[in-house]
Amino acid sequence: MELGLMQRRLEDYTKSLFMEGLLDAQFLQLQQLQDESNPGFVGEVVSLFFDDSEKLLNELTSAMDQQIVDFRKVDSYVHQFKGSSSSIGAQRIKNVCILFRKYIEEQNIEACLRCLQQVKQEYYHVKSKLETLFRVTSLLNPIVLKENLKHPLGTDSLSNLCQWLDYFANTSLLL
Amino acid sequence: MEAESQFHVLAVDDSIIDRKLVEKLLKNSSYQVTTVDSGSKALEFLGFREHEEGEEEEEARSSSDSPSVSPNCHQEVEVNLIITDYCMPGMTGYDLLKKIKESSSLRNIPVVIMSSQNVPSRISRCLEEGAEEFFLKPLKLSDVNRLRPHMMRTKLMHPNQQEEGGEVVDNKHEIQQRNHHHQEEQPGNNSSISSNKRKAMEEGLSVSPDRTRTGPRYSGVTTVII
Repeated sequence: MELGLMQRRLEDYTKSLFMEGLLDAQFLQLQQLQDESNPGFVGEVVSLFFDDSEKLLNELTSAMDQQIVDFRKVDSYVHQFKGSSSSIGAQRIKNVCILFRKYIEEQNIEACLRCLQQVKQEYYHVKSKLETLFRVTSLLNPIVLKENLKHPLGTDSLSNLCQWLDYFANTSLLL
Repeated sequence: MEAESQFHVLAVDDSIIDRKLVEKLLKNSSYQVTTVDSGSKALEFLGFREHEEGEEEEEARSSSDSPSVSPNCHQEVEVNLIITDYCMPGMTGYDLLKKIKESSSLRNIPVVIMSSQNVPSRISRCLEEGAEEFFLKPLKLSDVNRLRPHMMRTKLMHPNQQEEGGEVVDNKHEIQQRNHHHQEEQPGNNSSISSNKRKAMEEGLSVSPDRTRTGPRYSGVTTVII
């Protein structure tokens, strides 16, 4: 079935992000936190991360651009970025931040500028991958839902949906 | 679900992402959650009024015979636990912890600290100041599962348990012992880094179990102000 193939492709894509080390176990934690009461949770967190990161990167760039670099300020931005990337499981960004902080401590401007470049690259890389992931997932979801309703005998992936429908049926919430 | 499972947690963190995460973790565990982005906003929410503390305290307690202080005294809302980030601009989580423990109306609210850095001296400082737990970020569900006993303890100290005066104290000691046992079991578990946050602190440090327990300060021990 074409749908099954698409779902498998999506799973493989997600898996590859982990294999490449772009994402770590923390991202899995986010996915596990998502439930029916808030099905957009992961997307919301990632969205917040993007907004927050763009701001941080702008501040960082401007701080590094000063005649006299205020390393304490730079460190505070990198610390924040390390924290937020760690919270969503963006492993590579986090790792660059750790290195970045080492060079900040040494007040090594050249190395810091290199890290800034690198952290931007890693950020845009993971951003584009996650955007693809969410785009495909959201395209897939309406289709999956429609297909599930057509075939009430569920496989593992459909059993949750069936339970959900049963619950609604029993509480007379179904229209 | 029992009524007492509706605990209210105040979460303090300057990072919007971490606030969202901690909120979801807590909500998934059926807690009511309020999030604020700074220590000063947290104190505001708790109804903390530094200068009027003494007078109000006496007024509020004129009808109460119990030595234990209800967290409800001055607060607009009841908070059963405060979870705060350590590194925050302005007032750090440690500063907030100190202010809470120095406040006669707020000191019974259990406080938990979170930090992205595993610094043993930081951890022991917080625990000595009265923090119940110290979690490493990012926070996990297993960390959140450790919160309930601390909140249960404050419920036992609620004014409507007053008549059982002596019993309440016994219950508290019982729970302290159970928690102490729980604490002692932990060092054996070396398998994962995240399983025992205290282990980082325990390596090379000896903090006596008594000092890591808080609860009402019947003994009148003053906190160490560093």
